[in-house]
Amino acid sequence: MNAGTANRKVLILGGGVAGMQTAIALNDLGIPSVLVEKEPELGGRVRNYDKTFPFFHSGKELVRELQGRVRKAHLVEIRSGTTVTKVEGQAPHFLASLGTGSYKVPVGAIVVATGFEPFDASLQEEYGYGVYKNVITATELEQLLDPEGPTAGEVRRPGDGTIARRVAIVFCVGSRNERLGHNYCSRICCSYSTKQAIEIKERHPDARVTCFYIDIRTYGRGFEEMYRRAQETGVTYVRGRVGECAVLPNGDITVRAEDTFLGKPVQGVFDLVSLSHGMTPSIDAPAIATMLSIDVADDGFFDCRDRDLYPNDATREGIFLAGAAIGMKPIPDCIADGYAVAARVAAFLAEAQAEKGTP
Amino acid sequence: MENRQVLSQDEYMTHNTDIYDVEARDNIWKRYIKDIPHDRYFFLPSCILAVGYPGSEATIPRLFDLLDLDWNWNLKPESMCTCCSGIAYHGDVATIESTLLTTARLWSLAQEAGYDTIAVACVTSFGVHSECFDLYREEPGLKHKIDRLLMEACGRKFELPRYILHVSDVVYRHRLRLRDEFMPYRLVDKDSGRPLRGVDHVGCHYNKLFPLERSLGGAEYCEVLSGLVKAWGGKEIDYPERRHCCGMGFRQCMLTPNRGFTAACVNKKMVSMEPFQPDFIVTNCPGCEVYLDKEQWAIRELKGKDYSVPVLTYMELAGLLMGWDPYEVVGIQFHTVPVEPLLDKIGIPYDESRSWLGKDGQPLPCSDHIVEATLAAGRTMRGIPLP
Repeated sequence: MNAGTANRKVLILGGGVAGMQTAIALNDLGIPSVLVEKEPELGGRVRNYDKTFPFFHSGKELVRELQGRVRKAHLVEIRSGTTVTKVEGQAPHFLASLGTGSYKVPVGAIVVATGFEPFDASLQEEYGYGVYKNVITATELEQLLDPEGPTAGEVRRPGDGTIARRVAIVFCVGSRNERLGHNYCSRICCSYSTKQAIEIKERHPDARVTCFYIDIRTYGRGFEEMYRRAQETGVTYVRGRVGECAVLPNGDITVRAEDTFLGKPVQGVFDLVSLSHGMTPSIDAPAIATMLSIDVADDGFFDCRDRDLYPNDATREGIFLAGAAIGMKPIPDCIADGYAVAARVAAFLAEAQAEKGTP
Repeated sequence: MENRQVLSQDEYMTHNTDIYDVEARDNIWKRYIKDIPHDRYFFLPSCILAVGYPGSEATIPRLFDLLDLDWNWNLKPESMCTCCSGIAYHGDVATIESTLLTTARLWSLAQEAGYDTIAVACVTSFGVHSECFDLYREEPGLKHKIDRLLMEACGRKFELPRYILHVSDVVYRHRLRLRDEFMPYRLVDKDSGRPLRGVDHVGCHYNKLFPLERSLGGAEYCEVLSGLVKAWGGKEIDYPERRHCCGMGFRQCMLTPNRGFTAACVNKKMVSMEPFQPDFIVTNCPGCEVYLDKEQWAIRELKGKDYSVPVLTYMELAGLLMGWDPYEVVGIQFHTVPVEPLLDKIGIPYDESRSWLGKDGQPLPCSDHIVEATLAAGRTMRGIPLP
């Protein structure tokens, strides 16, 4: 560590769930922070989710709750609608520049909570996303299911506005796919898709909802129970990766898959197909990695100092990682990450101050 | 289904753009751009194209010359072009070394003539050449081994070609010039002005073996044929079984007990494309041309369902639009599904009485049993008065 007095302030990159929770936890520990969010509003991607899994809580409510806590936290300085453009120095004497560089802030540690990017489903070309209007992504389906959304919660086809009652949900789009270079499981897609299937089926018992999956990975607390609920509600699960979607003259979509239980190909016609896209690292991850001189792993997410012992430490001293920046995880895990990182930051700053003296 | 507005086919075909986003589709195929040189091609003909549809292959040199391209195809007398060994290779009766040697010799011929671009007429050959090229890239030491074997076999040396093209790539490269300078006709209904609906059937070994490196437009939205249809005034059709194999597959089309599978594949495609009311099918693979055309007859005989969608190669399509004689040059009389109705739609004149004439302008001799067999099958021979 450099000589001189250690900075006590912490820079947090990303104002999503993990970033906000980190700021709140640091505030509780008496540590000041600057929370930088590139969007005008805090909340990240959860801000747009109508329901979260597995308990069907409101994502918007959760974000509003966290936003309220952050605003009340007197040690948190919120800088939204801007980005960190430059970081100089070494821990615990970083000097971060925001926006055009006119605002500089000395910080002792940095937390990267830059989240994820939904996989661009058009890259899995055989599903026709972008080309066939009635093939949508799970994010778009979430908006359709939202009572405050564009269709007031009615699942309507984008192509012609008609109500969709035959819905196919295709799992693992852009995940576990060696051809696309995304070998990892995105971990949350099975669960959010199952949640969406239940929502459609419970609102419209006459709807036919068919989920095409490779394996069902509902591993968290309450996840398996949700999967069971889906089956009891009447959602059909077909084990087999979808090979192709195609459009019919009336806009219906044919889905072809292999049913690996039956050992033969199956095909169905649907009003609407939702692609449960996986997640990729934040689009800003490479630039941030370069700016902070930290590593990204083979999967593109930020690498850890030690994946077993220090899962929230970046590969450079004084820089920490939270939330989906280190791989996909459900919301409760992001919240837990916020607490964990705050503890790691507190320990690091305490050690630095003990060595160099308190300001 | 309540509240469903089902569009009629005419509505869809004429105005409805709701189900298909052309711009997005174009953005996808443009991820797979292929470098196609302007000329200097070494042309390798197909084994079966000239047998099934001789006009299609004969028009390739004619087209190259029309465009005044620098090309070559034969160095007589020793270095005649051979089969690429594809049928033997895919039929598991030739080793991979034999195939590597065969293609190495063909590349050697091209290099001896001073060309580093291979342009093949056959999609199987295209796949074989591409696969061999890839093997050299993947297996260090293989080139050295084949160098030695080729020298022992015929005293030749070879290098990997710079480009491996299918002739449809070449036609795509020059499609706009062909249209603007040489084509008096367009893929448009002469009466209504409606763009004709073209189904593109790209040979599997063109776009599915090496979609990234070798296919113009990748595997899913291959542009090599639909680009021609669109450039020449037609409309591209995207139907569910668009990417389905024609069913040729060397293992079933050559074994009589399995041949029904080929007809079943074609039937699947025809059933799928029928609601889109195609005016014609265009293909770049000799095998697909044969089976998509002939199996329509088999389907009619077996099921009584007459699709009669004309099947043309890209060269036949180009030749017809350029006003080349449909019988004497393009050779549409070799087709099982009559092409004349398509010519009527476009407004291309033809004289059916000239469909089976020999070099001297006289009708070709035709034995009685062929006439009888044809009549028994419920068809009439076009252009020749039957006894």
